[in-house]
Amino acid sequence: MSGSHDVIVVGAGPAGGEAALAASGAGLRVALIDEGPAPGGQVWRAPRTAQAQAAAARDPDGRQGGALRKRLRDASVTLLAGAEVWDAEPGFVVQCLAATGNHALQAPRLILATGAMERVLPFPGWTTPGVFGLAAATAIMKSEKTLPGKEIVIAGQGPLLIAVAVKALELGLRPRAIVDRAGPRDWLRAAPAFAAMPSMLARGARWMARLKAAGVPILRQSAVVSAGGCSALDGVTVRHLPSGRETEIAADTLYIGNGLTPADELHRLLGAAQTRDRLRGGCRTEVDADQRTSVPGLYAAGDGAGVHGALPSVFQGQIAGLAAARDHGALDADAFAARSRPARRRLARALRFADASCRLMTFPEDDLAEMPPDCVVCRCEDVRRSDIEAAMASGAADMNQLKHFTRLGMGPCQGRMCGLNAAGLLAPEGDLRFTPRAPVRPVSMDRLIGEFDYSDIPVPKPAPL
Amino acid sequence: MIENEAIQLVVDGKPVDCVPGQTVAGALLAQGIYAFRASPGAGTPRGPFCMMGACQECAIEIDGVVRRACQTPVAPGMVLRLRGAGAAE
Amino acid sequence: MTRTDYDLAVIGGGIQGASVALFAAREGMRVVLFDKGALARQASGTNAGTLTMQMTRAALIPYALKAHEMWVNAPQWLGHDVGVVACDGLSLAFTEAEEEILSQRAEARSAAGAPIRLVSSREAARIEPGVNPGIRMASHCSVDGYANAYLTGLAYRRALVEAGVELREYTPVSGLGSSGRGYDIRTEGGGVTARQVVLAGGVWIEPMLKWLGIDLPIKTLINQLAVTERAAPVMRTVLGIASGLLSLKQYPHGTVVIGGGWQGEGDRDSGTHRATAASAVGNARLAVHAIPSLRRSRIVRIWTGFEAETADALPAVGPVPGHPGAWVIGSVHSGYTSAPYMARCLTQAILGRPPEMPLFPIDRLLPGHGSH
Repeated sequence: MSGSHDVIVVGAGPAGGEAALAASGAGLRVALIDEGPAPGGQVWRAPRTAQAQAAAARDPDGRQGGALRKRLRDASVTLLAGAEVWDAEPGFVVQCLAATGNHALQAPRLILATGAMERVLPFPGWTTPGVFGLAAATAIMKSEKTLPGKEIVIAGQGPLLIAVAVKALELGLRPRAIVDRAGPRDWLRAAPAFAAMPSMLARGARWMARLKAAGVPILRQSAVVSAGGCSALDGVTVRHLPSGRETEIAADTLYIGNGLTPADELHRLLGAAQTRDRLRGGCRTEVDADQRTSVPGLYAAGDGAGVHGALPSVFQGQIAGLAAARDHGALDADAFAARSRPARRRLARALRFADASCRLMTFPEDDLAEMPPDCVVCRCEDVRRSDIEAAMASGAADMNQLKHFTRLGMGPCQGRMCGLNAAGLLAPEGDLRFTPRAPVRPVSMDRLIGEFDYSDIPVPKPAPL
Repeated sequence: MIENEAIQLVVDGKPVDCVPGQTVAGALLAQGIYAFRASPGAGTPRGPFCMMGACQECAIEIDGVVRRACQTPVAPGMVLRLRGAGAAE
Repeated sequence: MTRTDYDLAVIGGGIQGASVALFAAREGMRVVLFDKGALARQASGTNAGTLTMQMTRAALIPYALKAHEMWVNAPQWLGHDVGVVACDGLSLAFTEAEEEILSQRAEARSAAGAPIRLVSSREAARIEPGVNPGIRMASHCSVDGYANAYLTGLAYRRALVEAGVELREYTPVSGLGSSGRGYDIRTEGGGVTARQVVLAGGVWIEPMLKWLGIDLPIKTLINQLAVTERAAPVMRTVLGIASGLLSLKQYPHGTVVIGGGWQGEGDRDSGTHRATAASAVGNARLAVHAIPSLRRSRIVRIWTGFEAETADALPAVGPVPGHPGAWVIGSVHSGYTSAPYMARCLTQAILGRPPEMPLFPIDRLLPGHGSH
């Protein structure tokens, strides 16, 4: 699998899958890498069990994912599934680990379609087993057609709350409550944009009717402020934000999410220019109209470049794939314009809906300041807010110092879960991030080094005595 | 096509049945096992959180090496070792 | 002639400069310390933290032994913990050629005073049960250990503040000139004057010395390191191999740091450096070859840092020729280990006292000197 290609695409979700197909359709030799066992990404995640496969056939996302997987199978795209990209060097050399070992892929062009990661506003008890991200619910329902938990609470913000609750009902699980940070006014403000997508609006209305019929309470303008239990969750405390009134809800499982943020480790590692953008998940990678980044030969599409959602990702992916083909010389200017025109038109329309949805999912930065001192910020290293404040008092002024003084971000998640939250505590108005570094995923030693002889190791001549 | 015949894993020495196609995390959660490990610093119980490979909370020893349970498909006879789960102080 | 702002200005807040600033301030000098970034964020904060004799040049063993003693007693003189652990050290030989290197080096270092002796593979396995049973022999040193390098900045920062050193972090110095009775240290926001000045800029002592018209070539090494996630104990010593291209130890919190001088890529002028995949694979293979059970772990971070080396790979510690009151300290091979002691000796010279052990004046390295 190692070797040379015309373009490498990282991420086989809606953006990366379409980018690979577009580039391949224009005649490029394409390598497509994805961490998952099959293409689809998060939204079009491949069903894994027989039950999930049967269910996917009846579900719009499931059908679209199935269609993408079929098109990729039929195309001449080299797919490397179940492979974690851990390094990308300019030029480009992409290192990834699969069950078969470490692979180094080379291409003059690289399209990053790495998708998004969920953000969760930390609260005391969020490390208790039984507390999951909201996107975790969709992931396991799509791939395995199950949802862990008997007494579940669904909390956070954005359209995903309703989607997860409805899917839970379909599995015979009635959520104890939906806890939504937004109020009716926030949803109303989004309505005109949703109306531009009548099918979406109709689906939303159907879902709300089902929740009402099932008697699932929706607590608006409310947030989970703590989770109880030691080795297992036993309940959550919900605060009505305007009044401060708190209620306890017994629960063994909580699904909670506060929006998405670009999974932009590789973009940053390669030095692509970025702009702070709260609506796009905190930060977006700057791209031109053809999805080219500031780094020559590097393209970015989909939520990894700035959160827009699945539909715009499809069209951005198509444009990126065609742009790579154009820059490679496989398409002339006219062919490029003609082939990318439909995607551009549909992208413009999809973005209106996307913005409304993104607005509902904007991370509540201001509430970081409300976090209690004993709340864990860095899950891997058990670093609490009070530890961060002690480090600040000792002179920590940037993320690297904070890391050195507290071990925050030094664990296996590499700062993914804590980085933005810690930066918000350290300098709310700043734009602090950890220095991007490979490996952007923990590297399994076993897979990295494979089988070897001592004599294979190129040990240089010894240092002077 | 995936066969729908149950397969067996060994979790800390005990057999656990699961469905082909499941991830290791999915299989354990389906058994009601939520606590996979203890955090190495404070020793508090932890279980899967993001289910998409980012948070690393589900990393356990699978066939002798540390891997993310949420990204690893089950295989017959797979040997799992939960890492000190429930070993809270 | 006016009074200068400070008695001593130190340019470079790594462990060498910070130690000089600390010792000088404690002797009553008014000291200002400049760094272009935060304290100990370059080599001093990114090195492997190994406090070993088995990678130290024979000529520097007496200094490293003194420094090791200082590190073990850091809470007393520094006042803060940098996570120092003293333990056994083993250097391994896997081949006949390595046995030969090991024997020669053990002999030279032990002649210089390091408590090093050769041990059989069986004895090595008693000292380090996790070691690859396929080793042919090892050299054992009872004076070894490691610090937690990333805590250096925090510990020194506290000590410097307590000692009354004026800290100017994130303040790059743009130039240096003679000014009346001392030196004029120029920064973007103005400048200060000091009677004496210490250039302690690591790989950047070459451009710093150019401010004074001195041309001292400094080679830049880009050392690459890796660390695993926390794991149950797999080893208890500091391990190396005969060629010196491995340093390996497990910290009390469970992480295993893999170093040894595998090279990344980078450039001193832009200040950027990055790890390479090839070095990551080579270094990891060597580590797993030494401690086989590391194979089941995961590397969570890989990083690089600059190391400075003179033409003869011996330190640049002493007066700047032709510039009374100007001093340089850097390129101390295995610099992290020896830094506090080198800094103590230089501070003695700055204070006008004879240093406990000889300095390493740079005259030998300058054009026109016949010593090379």
